[in-house]
Amino acid sequence: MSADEAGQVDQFLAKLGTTRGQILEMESLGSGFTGAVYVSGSLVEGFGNPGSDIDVFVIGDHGPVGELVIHKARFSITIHFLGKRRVDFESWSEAHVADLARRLSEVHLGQEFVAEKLDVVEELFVHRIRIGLPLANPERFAALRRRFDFDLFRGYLVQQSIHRIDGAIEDLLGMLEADDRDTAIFRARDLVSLTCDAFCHQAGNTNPLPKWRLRVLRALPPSAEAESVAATFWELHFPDPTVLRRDPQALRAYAKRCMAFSHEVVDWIQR
Amino acid sequence: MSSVVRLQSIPEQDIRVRRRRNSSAVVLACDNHFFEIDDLVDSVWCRCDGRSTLLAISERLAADRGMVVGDALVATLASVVMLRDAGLLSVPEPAE
Repeated sequence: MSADEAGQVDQFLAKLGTTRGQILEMESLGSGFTGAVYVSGSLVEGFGNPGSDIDVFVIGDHGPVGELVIHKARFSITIHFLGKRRVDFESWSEAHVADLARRLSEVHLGQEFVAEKLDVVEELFVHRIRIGLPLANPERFAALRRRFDFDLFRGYLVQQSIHRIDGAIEDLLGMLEADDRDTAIFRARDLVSLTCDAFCHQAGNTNPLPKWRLRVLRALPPSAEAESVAATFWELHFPDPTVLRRDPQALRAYAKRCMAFSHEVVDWIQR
Repeated sequence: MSSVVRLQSIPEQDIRVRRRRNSSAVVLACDNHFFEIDDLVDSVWCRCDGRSTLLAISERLAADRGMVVGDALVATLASVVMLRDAGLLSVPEPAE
């Protein structure tokens, strides 16, 4: 780890009232452990708040030390506390990480239906490697990052969003035809959200979590396109529901605006 | 449907149509129908913005692609008629 990187990590942890040593000690990840250990998540990304957990990732042969352990299919989470703040240690085996990197590398953008080639947990894992900060064994962390093609991952998220947009448009058209107004209103809003996701991924972001959509949009480098997408996003998310539920013509016009927004953004992406 | 299109007509894309680019082609998708289009037809499609007349579209096509105006006009009309016949856009009669 360079002095700059180490300083960045220490500064980040100091703001949270802790140190690298204190965090590593919680799971006995001292000098004996040789795998990659890094901190990531919303706090690292600058989106976190006082209620956000500190997310620590441990890659390698590590048995949880803490008492509160949740076992998942491919990883385990050990929960610790730092005052009121939760510290989650997510432990993954080298084999699972290698398998994930291989499956990502086998995605062929533009040639096949790519949606859900990775599940949400895996997408989040890849994103969090990309933005993570090493806590221990930085050379192992650097090697771990080199396994993943982050630009391919970003392209995968863009294409997946476009597949989802296609599904939302088909749903919306069917709902309009069936005069299922309430469902159509919400599906039109989904379409607007998915369009925003596609835009943000195209602009470089790889965070797959919908809850951070607006923070991601705001964090993009300023551009006329980003400003326009943000303005349209807000406008289309808060139409007058009373009118739309009562008037099929108004609903149709609203749905057309949502679809036009989506067409415009996808054309921009695929220009 | 009239088989005649007029230069002052403004073609309108069907809002249901999705334009998607894959690794080898551009596809226009509508319901469960998929139409692969070439680069020239795609250029016409993209210029059908709901505000431009056929004449304006052909002039822009000529300017943007370095085409002879007459060739661009023929390409525009042929593309628009094909797209209309496929149900992907409409070409209303121009307002008097």
